[in-house]
Amino acid sequence: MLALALALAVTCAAGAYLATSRDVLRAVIGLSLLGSAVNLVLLAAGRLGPSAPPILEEGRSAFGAVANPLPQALVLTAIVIGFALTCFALVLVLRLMQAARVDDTAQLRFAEPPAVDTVKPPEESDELAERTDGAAALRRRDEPC
Amino acid sequence: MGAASNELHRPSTGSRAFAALVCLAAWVVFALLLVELARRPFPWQFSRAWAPSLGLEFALRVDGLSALMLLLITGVGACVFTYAAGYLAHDPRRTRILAQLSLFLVAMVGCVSADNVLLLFLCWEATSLLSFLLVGTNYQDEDARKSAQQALFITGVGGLFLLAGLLLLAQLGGSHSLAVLLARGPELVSEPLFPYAFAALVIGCMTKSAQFPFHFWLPNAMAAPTPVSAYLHSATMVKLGVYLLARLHVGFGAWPGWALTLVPIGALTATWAMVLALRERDLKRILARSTVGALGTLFMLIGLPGEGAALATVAFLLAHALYKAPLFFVAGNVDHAVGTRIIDRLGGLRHALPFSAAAALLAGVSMAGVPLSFGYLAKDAIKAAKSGSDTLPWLLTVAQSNRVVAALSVAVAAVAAVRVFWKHPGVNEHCDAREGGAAMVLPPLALACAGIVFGLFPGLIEPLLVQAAGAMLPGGAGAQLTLGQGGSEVLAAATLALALGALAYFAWDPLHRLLERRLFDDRFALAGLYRAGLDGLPRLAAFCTRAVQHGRLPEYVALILALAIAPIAAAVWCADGVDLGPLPAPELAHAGAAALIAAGALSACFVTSRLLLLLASGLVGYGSAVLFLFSGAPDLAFTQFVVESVFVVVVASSLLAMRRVTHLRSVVEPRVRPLAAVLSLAFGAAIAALVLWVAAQPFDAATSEYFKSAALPQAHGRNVVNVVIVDFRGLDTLGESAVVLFSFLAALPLLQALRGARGRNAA
Amino acid sequence: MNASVLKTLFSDAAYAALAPLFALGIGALAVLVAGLFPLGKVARAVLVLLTLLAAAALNVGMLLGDSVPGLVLDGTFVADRTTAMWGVIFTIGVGLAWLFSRHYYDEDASHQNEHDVLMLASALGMSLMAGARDLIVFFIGLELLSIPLYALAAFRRNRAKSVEAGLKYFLLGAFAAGFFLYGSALIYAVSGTLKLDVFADPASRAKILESPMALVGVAMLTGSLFFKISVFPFHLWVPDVYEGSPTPVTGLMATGTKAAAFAFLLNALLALPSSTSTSLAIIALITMALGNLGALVQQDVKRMLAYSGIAHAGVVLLGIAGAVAGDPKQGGAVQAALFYMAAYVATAGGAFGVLALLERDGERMTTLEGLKGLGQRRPYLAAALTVFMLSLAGIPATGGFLGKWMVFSVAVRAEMIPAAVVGVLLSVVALGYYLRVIIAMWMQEPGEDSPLASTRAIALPATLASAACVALVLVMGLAPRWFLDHM
Repeated sequence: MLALALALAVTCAAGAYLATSRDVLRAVIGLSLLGSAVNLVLLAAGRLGPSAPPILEEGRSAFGAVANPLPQALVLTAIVIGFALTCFALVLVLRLMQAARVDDTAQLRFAEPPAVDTVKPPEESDELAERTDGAAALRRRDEPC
Repeated sequence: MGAASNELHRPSTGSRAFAALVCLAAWVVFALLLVELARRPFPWQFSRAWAPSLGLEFALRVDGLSALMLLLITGVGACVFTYAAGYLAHDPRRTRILAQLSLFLVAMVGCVSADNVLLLFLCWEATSLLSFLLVGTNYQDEDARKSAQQALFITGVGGLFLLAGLLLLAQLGGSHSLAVLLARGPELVSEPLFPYAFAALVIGCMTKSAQFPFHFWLPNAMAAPTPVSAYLHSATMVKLGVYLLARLHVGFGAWPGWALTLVPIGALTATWAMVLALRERDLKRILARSTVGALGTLFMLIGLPGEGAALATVAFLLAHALYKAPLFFVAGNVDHAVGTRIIDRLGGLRHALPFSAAAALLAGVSMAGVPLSFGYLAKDAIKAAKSGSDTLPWLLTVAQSNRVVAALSVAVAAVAAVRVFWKHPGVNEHCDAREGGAAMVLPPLALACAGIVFGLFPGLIEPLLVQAAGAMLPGGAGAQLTLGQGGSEVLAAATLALALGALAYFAWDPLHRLLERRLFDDRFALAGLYRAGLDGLPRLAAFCTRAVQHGRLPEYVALILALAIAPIAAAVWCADGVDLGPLPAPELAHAGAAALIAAGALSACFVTSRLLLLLASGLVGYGSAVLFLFSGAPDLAFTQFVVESVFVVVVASSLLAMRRVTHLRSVVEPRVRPLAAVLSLAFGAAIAALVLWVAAQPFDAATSEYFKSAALPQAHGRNVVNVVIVDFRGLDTLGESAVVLFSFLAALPLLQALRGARGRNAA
Repeated sequence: MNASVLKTLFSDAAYAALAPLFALGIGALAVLVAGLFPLGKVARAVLVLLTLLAAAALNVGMLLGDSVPGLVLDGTFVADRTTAMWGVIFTIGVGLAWLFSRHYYDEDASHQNEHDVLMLASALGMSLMAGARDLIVFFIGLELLSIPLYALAAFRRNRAKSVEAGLKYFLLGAFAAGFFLYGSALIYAVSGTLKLDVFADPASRAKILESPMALVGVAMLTGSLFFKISVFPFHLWVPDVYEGSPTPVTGLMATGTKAAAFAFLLNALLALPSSTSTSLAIIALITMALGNLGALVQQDVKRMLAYSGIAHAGVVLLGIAGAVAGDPKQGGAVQAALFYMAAYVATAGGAFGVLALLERDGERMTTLEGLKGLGQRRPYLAAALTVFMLSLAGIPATGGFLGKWMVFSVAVRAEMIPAAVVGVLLSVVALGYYLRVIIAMWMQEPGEDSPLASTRAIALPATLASAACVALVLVMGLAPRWFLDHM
């Protein structure tokens, strides 16, 4: 259990660290790490007991000491769904990089009030503005490509 | 009004037919009502189920008070419709305004005859909405829009108070029927929550009837076309608050708080409004201020105890409608003919507008309370009301403020009737002014004449007024009330008011200049607050939205993480000492798997290459698979292996795609982000602590045991995980397959777009 | 091999309970398969319509029938009149979004087939969420709804705004899913089961809620639901995602997702300890305040509706807080939420639909500037939007008013009068921005640089859908008896 907990701590921390990155790909991978961590948590929630699989041997009709089957079923569901989600997200990120030529969440500001609005959030740092020639360039990218 | 600018607009046949139809309908309704009044005794009742579970019922009940209001609504309404048809004859918006006015009439009829409190509220709000539309008729004008909005806001918020009060009352009384609630009035007033219900109701009525401090919307509502002002903002809608309080009087009038609340509010409103009337130059706004004054007087009369007060209320209600509506009509005629309503630029119009002048004079006579007019009879009743009770002497003292109001009313009447038509300041701009036709002349004449006829022959209207007053009084009291009892005392008071009023009239201009200079305006009252709120709210809103919705995604994520840590930390904090139990040294296999996972996770944080990042994340998956394998979960291990392998394939193919876009990498962020690192470490620690804590708790294994025991006999399966997946939780598995299928489908258009774009790039 | 289990699990009752879901699933597959054949556009549209109608009919049948299947599938799924009503609401929401999407994607018209399948899949997910009595069943429903919506948000894949919306939705939405799993794991760790019926038994409920871990689990579950219903502090994604997504999809997100998450929250009401009612009410009021303030300063009506959607979520949450505090009227909160969301689906669905129609004339048409003078150019469209705005503002005689009233009544019955008063006052602020739309349409002339609308005729599906929305809003406001009797 201690080993599992340590692994979890590292995975969760890494996942969270990546998820707060401005790089969209790192953020997606961070989320997928957090997803892997959830699987481990689910498993731990059913307690790590005996390491024998819950499979009834031929000829026997009652279990000895075996692992808890229910969390396994749940983790299976979570693995499959998590995988499907991660793959979808990867495709989405790729498309975004291709369509918007942007991989920085700080530049993901296509859906925002126009600059004249009072609620326009402050622009990021100047270096960013330089690199992108300001919001106008961003806005132009919203045209079909 | 825009009539002059639309001189060229000729009404179409359809528009003319519609106008004629609406006027005819209004007169027919009025006539039918008169017939019914003569034929059927009160109360008239009608009821139909609507939404019983909400207490909503289409229940109508008409008694003397309602009938008086109905008479006003349809009678003045018919005059207004006729007048509007003429006044707006060359206005393209005539059809629209007439349609809205008709809807308004229906809503008003609903208001005064509703017995169900919710039906009453529905109609009440409908009148507010229609008032908004009608005030906003000149929508091109920014001021008109603002005034319309202001009227809607004040009366709308008041409507919510009214709803709250009515619902509370309904809850206390256990019924949604007004009649039932009022019959239980004496018991209800002793309920502890009654004062709140009463306060909410009074606020609702105050906003609708423009009582201080909510009075400011009414003069601004004069942006509406004149027929609308005459109808909504003088004769009918603004009287709804008065009507409702009069209706409630029978049940709650005896409650001590009743008079204590209403009399001061009414007296203050009346006096203040009449003083403010002196500050106005616009004829319509002067009339509006004096309307507020009349409404204040009505509030005060309702508040005064005694039977005489009830009679005075209904008499003054009628008298006010009969003189104020024609005065508005006349103001409209003046505006129509001359193009201005500023009294400094008007004078000597009696030659140009002889019929309007006659109507104004007749109405002014009634307003001033000259003997033989109906206004005089109302004044007489008010006098009787003030002297009819000796219970609360200080209230009567407050009520004496009515003398000022009466005197200033005389002055206002003189301005509207005499100054405009007889005085010769010599600054009239249009000498070619002339009357606008029968439709614009007859309605004011008719109403003003009614005010005189009822004064000469009070017997015509007295039975109805007595019944209306009776509806305000418990136990059928007041049957022996009569009009015109006062003798020389009233005559003396009226003369005094006339004299003082004449003085004020002759001193109008100096008084005006004095007040304009010396008297603070509404800036410090609720009107100022309203304006400040209107300006300040968007600023506050923009500030809040900017602060919360800053658009920086990582910070949103960080906030979510922090919110995940918070409950865990709170739980650990609140539990006194977390007992983790004995922690056995990990097995070698587990330790190895954990090391693999940790290595993958850590390297994912620090690699810069995207390929390595993806592979490192794959390592975490493989590590989990190993862990599953040694935790008695071979199926999981197998699935995870497969999934990770497929993932690697996906990664490889995506990298092919990404090679072309890798040069776009533009994120500039520091390699180590300390704040994020701290947050992440806290998150990791929290989850790990949680898992350790969970593991130390006893476990309720009933469900798992059930699955284990049921797997073979029920499902004939030996692999319990399989059995659980396929049988016991078959729905999940079905759903899970659907999720995979739909994710693929979801990615399909994107993939094709990717490929399409690549193809274009290559080409 | 497992006939007996199948018999007990998939009994007749289970089939009856799942029938609407099967209808949606089979319909989605049929549409998918139909895409492989060179069928005409009309044929495929008929297929989608038939699927939605079948699902709606099955739900209505359950609503009107004498008996309902009740708890089936080993107690993990429930089908009663409430879920049937939710099912009707979902099909209406999806149907509206689908109708409005007919002519929306002019230049991205390919993959229309996948679009339709994904919409049906989202309806499937919503129904699964509403009927779930088990955390994992709910989780699957959640994903079944979310993945199609991520994809649909990014469906205008040639527009950066849309892809961005999809990604933002995913990045923050994945947290909701993760939270849900963490929470489920904790509840499972404490109670040993994932079924909600452990909370139905007072003894076991008390035992579970004693454990601080279970409370953490409940907090995490609630948080993930808050994300879906866009409640503070999980509402941050809403404005950007709503604005970037294709407008019919935004309508679906605003109405369907929210309704489904509320449905489950009401199912899981007993999992919330009654001591949380105050915090829930405070969160609801903060949500309303932030939503209303945000909406007040928006120039783009689509974004304004996004913020107003946040505020509406706050209103329903206030009702739920009342229910948690103890509403003396049995089922009062469920009825109020059902009515409110039904009205909201018709209103917001219709409003987003009208915006979708306007957007075809140019993106800036949905700003307040672009709406100026719409009453003269397109009176019917403007009238429909006016009705929706009035209903959203809660003006009497609309469904929105009765819904609001019922929800506030729950709070009042639970003696949360201060919260109700503040809530009502916050709704008054809302009147300000809804009114601005009406004023722009009817009372202002188009400006000099106002985008001029084409006189392009509005397609039949959208006309029908907006007319149906207007009718529904008015019927719910004026003759609500049928709805009230069946909720």
